[in-house]
Amino acid sequence: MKRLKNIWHSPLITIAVFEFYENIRNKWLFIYGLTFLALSALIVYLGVSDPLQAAGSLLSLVLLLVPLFSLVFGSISFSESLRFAEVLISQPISRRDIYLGKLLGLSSGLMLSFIFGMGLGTVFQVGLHESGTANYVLLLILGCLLTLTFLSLAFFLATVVRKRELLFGWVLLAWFGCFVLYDLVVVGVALLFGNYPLEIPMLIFVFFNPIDLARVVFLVHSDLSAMMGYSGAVFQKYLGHNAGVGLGAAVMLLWALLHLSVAICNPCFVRHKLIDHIHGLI
Amino acid sequence: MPKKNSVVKKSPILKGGVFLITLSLVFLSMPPLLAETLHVCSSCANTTIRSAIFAAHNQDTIVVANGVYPEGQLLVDKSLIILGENRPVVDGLNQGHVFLVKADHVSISGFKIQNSGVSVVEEFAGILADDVLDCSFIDNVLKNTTYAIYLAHVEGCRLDANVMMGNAKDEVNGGNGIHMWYSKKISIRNNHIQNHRDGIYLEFSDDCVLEGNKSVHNLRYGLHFMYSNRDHYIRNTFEYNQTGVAVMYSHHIVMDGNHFSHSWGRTSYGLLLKEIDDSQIVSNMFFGNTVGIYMDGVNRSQFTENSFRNNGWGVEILGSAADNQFSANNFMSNYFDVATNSLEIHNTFDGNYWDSYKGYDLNKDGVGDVPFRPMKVFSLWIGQYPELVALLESPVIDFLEMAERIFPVLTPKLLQDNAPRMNVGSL
Amino acid sequence: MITIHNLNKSYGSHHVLNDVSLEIPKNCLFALLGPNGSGKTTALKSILGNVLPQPGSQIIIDGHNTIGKYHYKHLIGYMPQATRYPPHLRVDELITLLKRLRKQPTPLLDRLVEELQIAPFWKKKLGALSGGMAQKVNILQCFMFDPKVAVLDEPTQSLDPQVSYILKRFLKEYRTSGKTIVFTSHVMSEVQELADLMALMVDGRVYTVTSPQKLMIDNSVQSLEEALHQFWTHEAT
Repeated sequence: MKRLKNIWHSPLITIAVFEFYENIRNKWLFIYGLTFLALSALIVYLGVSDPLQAAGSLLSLVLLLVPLFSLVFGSISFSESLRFAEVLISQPISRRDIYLGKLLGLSSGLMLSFIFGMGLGTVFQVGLHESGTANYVLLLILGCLLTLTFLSLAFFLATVVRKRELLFGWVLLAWFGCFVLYDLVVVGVALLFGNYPLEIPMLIFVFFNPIDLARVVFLVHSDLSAMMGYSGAVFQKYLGHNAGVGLGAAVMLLWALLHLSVAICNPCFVRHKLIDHIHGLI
Repeated sequence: MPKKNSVVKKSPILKGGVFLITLSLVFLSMPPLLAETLHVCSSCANTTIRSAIFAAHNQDTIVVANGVYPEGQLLVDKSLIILGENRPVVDGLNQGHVFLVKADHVSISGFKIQNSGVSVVEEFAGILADDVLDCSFIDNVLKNTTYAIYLAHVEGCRLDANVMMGNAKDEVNGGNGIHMWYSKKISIRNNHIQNHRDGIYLEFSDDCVLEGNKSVHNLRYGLHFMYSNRDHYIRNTFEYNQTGVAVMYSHHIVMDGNHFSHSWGRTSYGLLLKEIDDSQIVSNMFFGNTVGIYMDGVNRSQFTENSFRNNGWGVEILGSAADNQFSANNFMSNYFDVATNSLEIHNTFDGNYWDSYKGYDLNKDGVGDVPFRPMKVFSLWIGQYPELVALLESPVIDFLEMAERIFPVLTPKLLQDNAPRMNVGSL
Repeated sequence: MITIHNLNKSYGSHHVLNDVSLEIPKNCLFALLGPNGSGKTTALKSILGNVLPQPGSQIIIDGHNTIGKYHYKHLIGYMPQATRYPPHLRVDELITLLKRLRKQPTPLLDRLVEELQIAPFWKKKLGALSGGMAQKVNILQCFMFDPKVAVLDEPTQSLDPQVSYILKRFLKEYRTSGKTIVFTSHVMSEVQELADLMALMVDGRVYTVTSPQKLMIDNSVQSLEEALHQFWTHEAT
């Protein structure tokens, strides 16, 4: 119990808790949750006759909104909090605690409104289709992982890019890159090297983009996997079953960790100026 | 019969003898007058069907009362009508075929037939008819039989309203519901077949009619044609089979008014056509299949007034298909309406309804004024490079479609409906 | 109390601080005086540990070598020039947050809340505070732990006259209880009124460390502004 209390009162958790309070009172987070509630309820309502299309539409909704909102909200929130961060830095706590605490608090706020919106929007559907419930739970898990991955990317970008207008440009570019451009490149590669066996390269491509990873993990666990045919067997092999969800989650968490470690503690990766920026303002 | 003939000798009263013989022959050829009815029940003279068959003569009728008859394999080598009253149970005791029919004009109806033999080498059936003419098997329930009804070298048989509950566990050891081998002019109506390897299987079997059957939950195909020609199947339902119907190496098949649905899986098709010529595919419904119709080597066939709904792919045409005509079909809510892997397409599309058609109809004649190209660039690419399924549900697909709308030059010109309908045709 | 030795800092090729060495004693209000870009803010943030100086620099506070560390910060209170507090947190929540982070007693909390009249908006959201209220919170969070060293960035720059008066009165009293107060300023009158000692900074160098009174007497003028003018004229020649 005492140990638990110690963790609760650790600087990281303290900052996370207050960051969480701060964010759940933010109207944008409320709007975010409400958007998920409205759209997912609408999709579920319209998709009763066609559960396959409904599952696809819910997946698209998550893949579109979660990364975009996490990136934009995360980078704005981070750069707006830099001045208050000066006050926090002058307290006897480490920068790492401040950085991670803020990330933890913000991501739990985002996840909560996502789960609240999407969960409430789809809960009426549960029971109508036997395979549906597990799919929705998987979608919620993937959405949370995407939140964490793209928030850490947003934090990383916000530490590297100082000017706010520039930051916003980079954030949109990162989003568009992960959302569409990356897959366009994959199409290009397939067209160029179509004569070679491409199953394994495709698998690797998928692992390198969190949005693709979330998408394929959902696909192989949904009825849509039937459409992937023989070429999808490699995904079934590595990402099918419950262990596959674990693998996908691990890779996404690894992405988050990579962004964070580059941002806070690994000077080998960054130029002197960046370190200074990080140390100066977080 | 040989005894009677042996009695006749060249006697002085030859004329009278000839008269008698003629008379007896006339009597023999008029079964209703001479035929007997034998009863089988626990208190009857015959307590087993086997003894009744032994005692019976051609054209006799055997009526079997309700009860359980553990018979083992029953050889039916006389032309008999065997009737079950209140559905008696005939148990084959896992020994071989339950009914082995080796005589013409046999009718078996009203039974529950169960427990055929199980063998790796032999194909044991609930009812096996071998090299016979004119049989009818009606209103039986077949349960736990490897093959339910097996017709080998049979001509002119009726199979009506039987229910076949198979026990197939895998494709290698499982048997088919109705199996036809070198059989002709068979009529199969209103049967219910499930849990077999193939629901109905025809090999070298021509001029058959299949109507109103329901073939569901079979391990492989709901209905399977091999080298069988001029067959018709109409108003049948195929649901939850690995593949609804497979028609292979056959020609002049008519497929009308059937319902193909829920063949959903990695290698599943509503209707699989392979090396098929001159066939009619009319007024069928394809719903919720991975691929509605898969065509490999199909020539000179008509696809008319079919509906494709909620399928992964509506129609998948391999490059080997030619001179087929698609008209007045409805394509609705499919992931991809049409896909092909070939740049050479020799099939025509005319007057179909496409729910993804975005054209207009200024002269209000019900036909869109702009041609529709149902093949999107991504569905061509995914046909050519199947690894691209990794991008299923990716926004890049919508992105490409948007690009095609802005730059129509991107859309493959292979496949074009010149007169797309504005409104959905009758379903 | 604070010893700064060979403090160097550069951003790329731009040297912001050049060999700054300072000795800041107890019971002292110490001003870093200089124009914009003179390096006074960077020097202040180096003391706070918010900026990481070049290797070789030394900052010793109350016997602790502080470069690259953060545990010494329980000695320090910091009052930024203007800050944007989390707008959806309440004043009391902010104070709770800081109390939990420092795990230190807050001997001056009650007194400051009373003197600054914070009680009326104690439960208000920080985003809903007026400018004056926010400044009061800013002062409160800096001094409530009764820190041995208080670091203030342009303290009266954006204060209301009334709050400014309360702060100045408080600072003068606070200095006498064995504390060290360092502040930056480019306003002569403020330095003249408050500072016991001041470091004159230009282009990242410390020109001289003296008291405003001494500088005025040496140059026989009534204001620090005039004294500095005289001083620069002498330096130039």
